[in-house]
Amino acid sequence: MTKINRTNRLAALRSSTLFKACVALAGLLTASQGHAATLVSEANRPLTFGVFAALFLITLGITFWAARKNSSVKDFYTAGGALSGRINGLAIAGDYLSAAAFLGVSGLIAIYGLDGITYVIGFFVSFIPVLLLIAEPCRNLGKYTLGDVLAFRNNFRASKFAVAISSVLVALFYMVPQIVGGAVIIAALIGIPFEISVVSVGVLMLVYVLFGGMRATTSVQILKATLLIAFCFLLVVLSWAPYGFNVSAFFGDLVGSSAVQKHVLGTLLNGVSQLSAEQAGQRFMEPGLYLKNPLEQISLSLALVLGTAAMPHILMRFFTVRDAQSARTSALTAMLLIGLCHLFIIVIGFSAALHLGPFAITAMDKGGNLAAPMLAQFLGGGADSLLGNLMLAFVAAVSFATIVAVVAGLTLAAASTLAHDVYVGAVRQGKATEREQATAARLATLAIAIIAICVGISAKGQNVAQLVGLGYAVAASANLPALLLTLYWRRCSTAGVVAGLLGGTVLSIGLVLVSPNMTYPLQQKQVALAAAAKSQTKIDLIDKGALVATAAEREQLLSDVTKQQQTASLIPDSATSLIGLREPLVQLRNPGLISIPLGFALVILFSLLFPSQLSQSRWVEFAVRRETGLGVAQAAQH
Amino acid sequence: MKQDSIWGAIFEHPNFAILVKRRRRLVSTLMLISMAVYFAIPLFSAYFPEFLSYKIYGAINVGLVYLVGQYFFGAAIAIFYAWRLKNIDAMSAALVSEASVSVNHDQNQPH
Repeated sequence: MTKINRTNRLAALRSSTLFKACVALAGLLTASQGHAATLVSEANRPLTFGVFAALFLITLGITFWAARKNSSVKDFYTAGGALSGRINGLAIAGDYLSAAAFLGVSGLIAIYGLDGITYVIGFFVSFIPVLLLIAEPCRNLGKYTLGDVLAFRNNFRASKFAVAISSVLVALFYMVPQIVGGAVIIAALIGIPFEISVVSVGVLMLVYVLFGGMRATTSVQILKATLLIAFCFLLVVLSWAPYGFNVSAFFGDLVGSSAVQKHVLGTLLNGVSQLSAEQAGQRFMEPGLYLKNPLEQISLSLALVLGTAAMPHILMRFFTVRDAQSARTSALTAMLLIGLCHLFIIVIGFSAALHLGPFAITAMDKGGNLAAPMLAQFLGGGADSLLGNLMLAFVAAVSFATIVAVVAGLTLAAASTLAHDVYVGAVRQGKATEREQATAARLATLAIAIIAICVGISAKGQNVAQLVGLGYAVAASANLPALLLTLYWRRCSTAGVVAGLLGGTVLSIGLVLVSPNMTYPLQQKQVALAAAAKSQTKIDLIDKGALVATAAEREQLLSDVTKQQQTASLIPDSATSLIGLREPLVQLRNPGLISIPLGFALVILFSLLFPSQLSQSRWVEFAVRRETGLGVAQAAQH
Repeated sequence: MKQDSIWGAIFEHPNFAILVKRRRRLVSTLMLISMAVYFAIPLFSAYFPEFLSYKIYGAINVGLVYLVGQYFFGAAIAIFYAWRLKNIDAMSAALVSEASVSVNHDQNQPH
């Protein structure tokens, strides 16, 4: 009885704190009006905030409900561990369909055409390894985390500690671009300043995870996935209805659009192409406008396709279902829903190119991230219509919910690794009371949220998009070899697993540090000098009379020369990159092609050099559990 | 005691090796096919762009059909896998119940 009373009081306490957080956040959101040119006009701001508030209240209601239902650590990490496969599949889709996919990819397609599709497919194909190799055995062998699976037949402390390093890094690498990119987009959409956007994503996510655990996170992800997919479907219908759903006529108009033709000739082909206008339009539907280096493309694809299967926040979702069959249904459902949403996003991208034109899209945002919101406004009736602005408000709110849901999933995964693998596992050697575990889980959540908010704010103005690729690369080079070989190779040993986890992490990060992703001042200096020389040549030609130009144009060129020379003179000849290099050591921007095979090689080499009695002796039980799921109930209970 | 002997009993059972082999063959075949189809994209884009540019119907070309087709192909692979696994599930369930019966039986034998 007393225990129940305590739980109720706790729930009441949580909900009153919740309420305070809600009021504070609403204040933050409304205090941020009056900003530079944004997609949502000043007059429509109240409408947009109204939609935000409605969505916000729904999610808080969900969190309140979840907080009352949660009581154990198992509830916190796995929502009780009895979700149905289909529900979990929907939640995985909500976890995985990021703002980068919805806003970023539709923009890429609107600007670069076919290559935008090539880019997004990897995020779908990556679920094939998840379904075939990972989902079922992990459910059969683990409790809350990837660390559980590895520790099953490897040294408990060593494997848990090593996997925590790579997993927390993966979660952070993946999370920071979500928060930063999201905040930039939200700022461009409705003018909420960057810092407030980062803090509100962080605080909101913290409220969901801290009070509602996996139950609230799951519900927010389900809500967001449903809204996102339904809204994308609506945009597709509105795009195709005027064509009577005649796909060929739609694409015919697209390649015939003079805005697209001019964009291909002028921007993408730098005005040096001999293509006719008609051919240029068709060129939009051909490869090579965005992805120009096949080796780079294969390297990125490899990291995407293999990394997803070892992403901690994806793996964690498979512990919320009862058995391997439900895990399989989860992965299958998630894959189909993600694929469906991708197909909608592809249509949205092309529709934006057709209806708005690539110029208008890049004028609003250079990366094209506002293509989908602009299209929603256009299809709803334009900038002056109520429906258009309602649609825009809805896109903005769904995008915001998307960021929060993805970040919440990542935070929960990182926190479970810190609390369950590092503290309860490596430090306490698995001996901690329920109460200690619950406190550890909440403290870890708080820590991750604070780190995410601080890193997010300090990353303002930085290009952090490449961190997503790095997150996938670490997952594919460190976590995946260790997981896959632990699962399926009898001779895999603790030494191999630890070497693979640490080596794969260090290699992927190291390769990025010596890659062209970093800033090399000397290269910038050369670029500036070359640009100055080019402008100077033009001035010389004008002075000789070989080139016709107005005085203003000559003046412009002259100031260009001075500016570039100034930039160059500011960079000393001894300047080096962050880690002291004058030029990149490798030419690959995506490390996957090198680091993934090396990650596998490390696990194999060290397993053969240092075989372990423990790993071999547990193989029989491990293999039987993996195949049959026998003992999965015990695994979920102890 | 009972738990320990059941792992061994199932592991030693001839059907267990067959089960593992069947699942591995299915998984590796599907992985190989789907990855080949997917990694053909960068190869086609870089070395045979004219193949992807070949127009099929109006503005729709092989590239668009091949890329969008990946989604349908991937879905087909996933559904086919789930469908084939029903057999393997049944086989595994039979193996578990057979082994538990024999382990229980052994332990009830007077020594």
